[in-house]
Amino acid sequence: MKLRVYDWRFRDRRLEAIYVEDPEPASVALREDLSPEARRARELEVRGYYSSPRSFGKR
Amino acid sequence: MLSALDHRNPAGNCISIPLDLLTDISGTLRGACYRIFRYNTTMALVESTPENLRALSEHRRADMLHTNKPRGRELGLAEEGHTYFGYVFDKFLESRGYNQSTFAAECQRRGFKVGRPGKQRDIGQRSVSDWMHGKTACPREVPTYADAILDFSEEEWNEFALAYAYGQTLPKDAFEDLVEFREFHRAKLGEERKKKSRTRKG
Repeated sequence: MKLRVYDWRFRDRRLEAIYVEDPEPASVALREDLSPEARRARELEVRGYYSSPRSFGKR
Repeated sequence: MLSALDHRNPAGNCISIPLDLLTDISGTLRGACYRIFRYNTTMALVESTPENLRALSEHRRADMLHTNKPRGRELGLAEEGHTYFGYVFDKFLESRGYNQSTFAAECQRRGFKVGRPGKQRDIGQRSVSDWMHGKTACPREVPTYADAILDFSEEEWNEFALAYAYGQTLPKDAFEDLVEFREFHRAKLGEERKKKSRTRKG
């Protein structure tokens, strides 16, 4: 799986993650000061989205 | 059951409700809403008279079940401030000496209306405000009207179009974060491709 994960400093305090898949390989920016639990949850969410986008109603 | 009252709801489905149940409800739940699970519909008592039972729409029912906040907007996206589209629109209005009211008045003066044929309406200040705050979607005619009134340059037109297409559900900061990360992503991949092609040649 070629998903890249970056720590990111968002301007908007409510954003926790941004997922980009065009162009490939896909990348995700995770808020740098997320708690470990929130970070793990976001990573799992994005990996699920990356590996099976159909289950999220996409494509 | 002793007897039943037949009531036809707006969808045309016949609902039978036992009278003793109705008496119970009218006594204890005046003006309140309750659900009858068997028919999967939401009923409301109007003026406490069982004859005026009416089914609420699916949309209203979903709203009651999930949130008390006002409908017609995507919750938590723009909050109380402008969306990115609102920010760009407002910026261009100000740069030409317009505000929401004068822009709406200018649209009316020129006969610019929105809505589908047969249901067209004038543009009011409230509508412009709702578009800017992401409370309602901006109608597709508006970019053309804005161009006619504000006389955009090519760059401004592109900025307005981008904001119209992608910025109606995001606040400014979130939109800029998104654009910034996309640019970073593209630049990073571009760099890596260049490096790869160099090593192949070398």
